Amino acid sequence: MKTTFRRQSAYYYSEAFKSIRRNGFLSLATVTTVTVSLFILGVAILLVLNISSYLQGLADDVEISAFVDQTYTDEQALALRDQLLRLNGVEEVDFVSREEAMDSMQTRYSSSGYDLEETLESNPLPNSYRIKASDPQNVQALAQQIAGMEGFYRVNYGQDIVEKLFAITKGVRWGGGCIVGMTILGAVFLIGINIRLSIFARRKEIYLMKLIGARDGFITRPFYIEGIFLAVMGAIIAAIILMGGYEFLLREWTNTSYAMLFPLISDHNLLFRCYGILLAAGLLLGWLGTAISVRRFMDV
Amino acid sequence: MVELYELTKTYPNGVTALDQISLKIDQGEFVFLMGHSGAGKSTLIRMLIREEWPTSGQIFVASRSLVRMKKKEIPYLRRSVGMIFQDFKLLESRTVEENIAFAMMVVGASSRDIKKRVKAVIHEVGLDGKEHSFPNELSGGEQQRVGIARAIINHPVLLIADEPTGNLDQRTSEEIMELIYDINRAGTTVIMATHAQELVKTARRRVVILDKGKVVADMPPGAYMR
Repeated sequence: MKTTFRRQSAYYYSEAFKSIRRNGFLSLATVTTVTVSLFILGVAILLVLNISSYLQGLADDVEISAFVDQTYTDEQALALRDQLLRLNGVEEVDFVSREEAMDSMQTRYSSSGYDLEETLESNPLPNSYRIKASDPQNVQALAQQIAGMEGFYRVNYGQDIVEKLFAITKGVRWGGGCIVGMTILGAVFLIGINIRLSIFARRKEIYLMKLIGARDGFITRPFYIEGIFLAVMGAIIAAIILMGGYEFLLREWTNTSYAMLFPLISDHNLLFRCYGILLAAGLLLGWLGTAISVRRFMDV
Repeated sequence: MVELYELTKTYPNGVTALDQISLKIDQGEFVFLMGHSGAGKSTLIRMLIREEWPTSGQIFVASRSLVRMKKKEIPYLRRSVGMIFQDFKLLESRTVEENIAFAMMVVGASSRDIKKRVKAVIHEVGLDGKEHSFPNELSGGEQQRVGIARAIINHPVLLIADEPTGNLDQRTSEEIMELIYDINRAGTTVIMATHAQELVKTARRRVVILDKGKVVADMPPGAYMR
């Protein structure tokens, strides 16, 4: 049994590599196409990841401001804190007293030389709370909930910012997805042509194998090896280029002043998972391209 | 060994290749299949190895119903049926030995068994010394011997020969026929499609004649006189 297996797998591989050599130029073109399409996929993934993490960072800073009814005393206003903390999805609650609000406004206007207290005579600002949601996606729902509570007359949050940020993320994902989809389609198509040619070159042999009583698996295995090998080769090359390119970018970027404003992802666990995805995608592409051709062109 | 009941094959273009054929071939028999081109011989042969699917009727080979056979069972049917062809169908890039071993390898035999069996079969068909020749270095008769060796290497119970002497001269044809008779004598059922009337006349075997998809004559050994 063991010798059978060894002899047969030797056969599978020798047939597969004979085909790759015979198809020489096309094999090269296939590997290149897979490399290009998976490289684009990789770039898209890294881009989306970076933009998402950047936007997440922005969205994390979006806070809800809830203004306490002016009729409430300071004690009553402070008591609202516990109610807020009891809400679902609340991460942090900060009380801002009227005096603190005034101070911070004064600081903002100090450069213009105004003395607000003098101008206004009394402090018109209400007590308020700054609330942070544990999930930025929940900000809107949470804000509405707070607005419905007794004791608050007005709730503000960065509606526009939050919604815009998520729209941008969505757009980036869609656009990237379309480009990636098209290049992957091209890669599968080329792998398919490659396998189709290999099948064509060996059609007499395939017919004979069928007549002699070879199982379908025996006949198709060399083609799967060929298709998957080419695709994984392409994937490995794409991953190496991407890895090298990103590491280079990371090094250069951290030396610039932009790095603070727009930090790049440098979590290597996450990055290696990205490169792993490329290899898995290569495997899948190879399998898919081969399967399509084998199914269409090997019915004897 | 082979049983056909009202076997009919109509192609999508409306051509009826086989028209209600019933036929029974016993184990160990030798049957010539004759008829003009287009009489249905090739369709019948393709039907026997389940390359074609009947429109209606039943077909049994070695007690197995080919109509009810599942797709994944087909390889096992074909392993019990050996085939030889008019154009030999050898792999040009492989030696005699490799061409013959190929048939054992694709069904998953071990390399030790293959070595032993290939040697024996090469001797059986009289190709000693030609193991490492390529098909284009061989005469037509020798190439057909390779084809026969490949067909019998997996011990088929049924040998189907499709015009095996069609490309050979008379003397070589007779040698090939002797070889096929030997295989038949050893117990393998043989169905041979042919146009060679002289050969059939001297063979004195059962003859089935097809015409327009019907069996028009089924003659016992010695009855075919023309």
